Amino acid sequence: MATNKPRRLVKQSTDVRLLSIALIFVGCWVFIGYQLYQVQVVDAAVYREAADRQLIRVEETAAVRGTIFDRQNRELAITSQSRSIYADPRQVDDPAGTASVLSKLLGIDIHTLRDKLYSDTTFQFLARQVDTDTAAQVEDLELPGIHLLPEPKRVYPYGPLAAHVVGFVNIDSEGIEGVEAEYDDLLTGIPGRVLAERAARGQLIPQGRTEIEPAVAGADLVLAIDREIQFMAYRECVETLAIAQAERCIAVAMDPATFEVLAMAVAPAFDPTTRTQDDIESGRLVNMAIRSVYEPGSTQKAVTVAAALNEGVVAWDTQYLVQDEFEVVEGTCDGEGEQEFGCYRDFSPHEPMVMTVRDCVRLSSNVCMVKIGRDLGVDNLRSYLEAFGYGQVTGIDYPGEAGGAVNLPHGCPTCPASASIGYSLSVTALQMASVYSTIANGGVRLGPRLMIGWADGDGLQETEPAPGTRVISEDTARTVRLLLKSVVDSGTGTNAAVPGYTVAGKTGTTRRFDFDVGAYTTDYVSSFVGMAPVDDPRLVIVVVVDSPQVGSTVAERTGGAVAAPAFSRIMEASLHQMGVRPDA
Amino acid sequence: MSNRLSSIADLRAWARRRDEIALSRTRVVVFVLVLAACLLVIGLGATLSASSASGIIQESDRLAVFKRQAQWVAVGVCAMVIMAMVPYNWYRRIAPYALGLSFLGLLVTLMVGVRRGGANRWLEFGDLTVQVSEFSKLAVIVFLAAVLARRRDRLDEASQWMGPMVFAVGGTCALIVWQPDLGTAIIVAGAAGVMMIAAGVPFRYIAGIGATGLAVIGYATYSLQYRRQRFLCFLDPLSDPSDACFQMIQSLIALGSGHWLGVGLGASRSRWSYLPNPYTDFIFTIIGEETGFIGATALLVALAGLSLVGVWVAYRTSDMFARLLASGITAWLGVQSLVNVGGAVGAIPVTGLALPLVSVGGSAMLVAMAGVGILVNVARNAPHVPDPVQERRKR
Repeated sequence: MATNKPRRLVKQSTDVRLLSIALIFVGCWVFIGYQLYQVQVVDAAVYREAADRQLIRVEETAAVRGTIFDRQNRELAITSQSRSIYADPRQVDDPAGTASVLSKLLGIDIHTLRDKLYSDTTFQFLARQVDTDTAAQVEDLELPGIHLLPEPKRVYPYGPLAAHVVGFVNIDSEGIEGVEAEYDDLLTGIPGRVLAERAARGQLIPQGRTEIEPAVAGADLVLAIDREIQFMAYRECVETLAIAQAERCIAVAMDPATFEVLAMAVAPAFDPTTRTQDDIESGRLVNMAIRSVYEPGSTQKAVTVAAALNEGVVAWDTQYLVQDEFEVVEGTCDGEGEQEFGCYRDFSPHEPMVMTVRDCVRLSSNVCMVKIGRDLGVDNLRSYLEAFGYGQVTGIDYPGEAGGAVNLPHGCPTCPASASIGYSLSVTALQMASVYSTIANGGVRLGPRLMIGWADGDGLQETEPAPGTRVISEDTARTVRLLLKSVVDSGTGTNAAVPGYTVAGKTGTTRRFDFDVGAYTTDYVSSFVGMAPVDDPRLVIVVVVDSPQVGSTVAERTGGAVAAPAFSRIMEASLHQMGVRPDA
Repeated sequence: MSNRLSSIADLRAWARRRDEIALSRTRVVVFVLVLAACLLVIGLGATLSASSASGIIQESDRLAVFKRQAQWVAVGVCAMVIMAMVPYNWYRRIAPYALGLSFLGLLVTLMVGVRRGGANRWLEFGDLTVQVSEFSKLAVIVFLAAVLARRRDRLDEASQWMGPMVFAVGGTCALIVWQPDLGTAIIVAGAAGVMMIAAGVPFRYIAGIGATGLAVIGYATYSLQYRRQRFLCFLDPLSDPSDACFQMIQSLIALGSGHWLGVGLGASRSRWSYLPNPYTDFIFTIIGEETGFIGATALLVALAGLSLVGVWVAYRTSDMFARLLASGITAWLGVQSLVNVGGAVGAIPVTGLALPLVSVGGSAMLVAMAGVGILVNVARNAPHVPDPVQERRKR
């Protein structure tokens, strides 16, 4: 028993120690339990909110962009589903090999691809909106880290046909030019949203909450453009470009009753689906019918005469004695051949003769027109120019419209004379169409427009034209049309005649003013503006040919020579297309 | 004592006492086994959930981690049974060899070990990786139990036990810190400290050794950048949300999301690559997120229960070696659980220790189950005080 005694003592003292250890354990666990309570119960809301902040990701789902139709519901711009190829560089196990395979398939520089595949990101577009075959080939390769993503692609089925009207979108389907830009909000619709719980690296968590707000598709637009007339205008412009060896050709067709733009063609054009760097650099993307101005020249004479007739200053048969030159500033016509400011000459020399106002228009006499302008007076001229819309934008639904200019400062002796014959003014082709449409419409000017309606989920909404303003009387308008008819019947514009129809119109040939240099060049801007049928015009067409180089003399480059034939062909085909009854 | 009547009464009392003790032995063993089984089941369930997400993300077998861990649990159960059957006094005999083997293993690890995440902790044998430091824990505990039990009557003479203890504990801890793995070293030191207390070492020694240990831990913490940052994060979790404090913040966010009842089994969000190491260091967080405060508390109760049952096992025996074995193993499992859960709930800095019997890890599972086996062994076989069987023999 004696040997047992110290052992029992140790035992008893260590019992107390063991109990203390147990107590300390219990204390620690209680403390941790308390801390757990703090985290999971007391502060739970704070942590849950933090969890939601990192878990819930919002993704936008693009709404389907609206279709753009012509007035007969033919698609000018549609959205198709294509696929884009992207890489998650972290998942790519052989960047070099992958780059070389894809480089061949996608036609992309191998170094560009390698840089992308080696980059320290989780998402890299390799090629966007590739065609179906390429996408399928890439998919079949099943390369690790290379994925495909469905993406909408904007397609313009008629290519360059109405390119300048419709405009185009960027790679993300945002309208950046033309109608696409003007009505981008309407076309875009409202993007949908997907709220979903995602893993740190983006995978969808299967048990997570998701909330989907569906996208609202964009509205479809109906344009005033008639594909058939647009086709005629574009084709003739391309033809004229070749025939006249010109730099540019613009054709605008307008319905004078409504001022709706039925066609607006600019050549050379581009394909909005596959536009190139060259298109951008050469300025082909710009709609020159709306954005570029030129001096209208003789086509302006219709306005001078209309103003004089409407004011009662002249009648159609008022006679003028017309020499072949006229000095507004004394002594300026003395120089041989050299044209100086202040001296106005007719196109070709002639003996002094008596001309009626009708002849003045028919033969496009500058001298006669300067005299009419002088009789009208500069103030009248200015107010009529303003009423016809010179120097102002027409307000067409198209971005970046140019307004042109009227240069009639007080104390400028030559300016009124110049303005009478279409110099000292600048206009767009669209403005000229508007001016002649006013004459065709019995003297009432409306606002030109490209879109005539749009359709969303609630059906078709037709847009209302702006109310018109009267510029000249109906009688004046009719008289001017008859005067213009003589131009086509027996004057400078005989090339504009259309078999079976009466046609009224005016030629214009001006020295091309180089706005960059600030001086006239040796090139011309040759144009023809006209309408048919004369009694009840259904169509106004403007054809502007910039810098024709054909032939060796000016006579082969005039509006009557290069623009009138194109006008005639567009007008003829369009009248047939519209089913207008022949009246001649 | 020669009175016959009283002798018969004695005999009856003795028999009754013997039956009572047998029953209470069974009761203790059942407690240990049931608690261990609960932890294993909870661990496997949480592993299934925590590992499947990374399996899906990496497009590999989502059950791979779970299957492997289930195999390790099976191996662990075998180890437990064997450790429970062997007469526990054998451990006293093999203790020096086990410690030697542990030292050898740690040295080899330092020389040819596999480096993962900046630490050199694993030995690789083909498909199998072994974390030697896990085995070292058990080796040190058994060795220390043997030394302190042998010197139990002369513990107030430091020269009697200080040398072997410093050799075993200090040496092991130094080699483990070298890897570096401060967390495991702290567990070894902590278990040793508890064993010294349980053995009856005078408090003046314990205070001295404890102060030295804390100083070393403090120095180790501040000497390494990431440890210092973890420590600073613990003090102020929002001080650096981008990188260093990410683990702790994510753990708190996940636990907080669980609230009272949790987000549901298999519905953890944090396992989707938000929470690092969801099935090892932070498996408690996953359980807390999925089963809420109620479930997490139940797990805390199970862990605390194992500690208390372990102390009870130690308390019941009069054999000092058995008592120290039980308290050492209990201290190891208990302290490691506290450190792991404490880190997950933000009560102490994150150390990167596994939750015993719950976290994924082959070596850890095997050794923890072996420890439980020894606990069962002691509960079944160690002499009870007062033990009527032994006392009668002495008569």
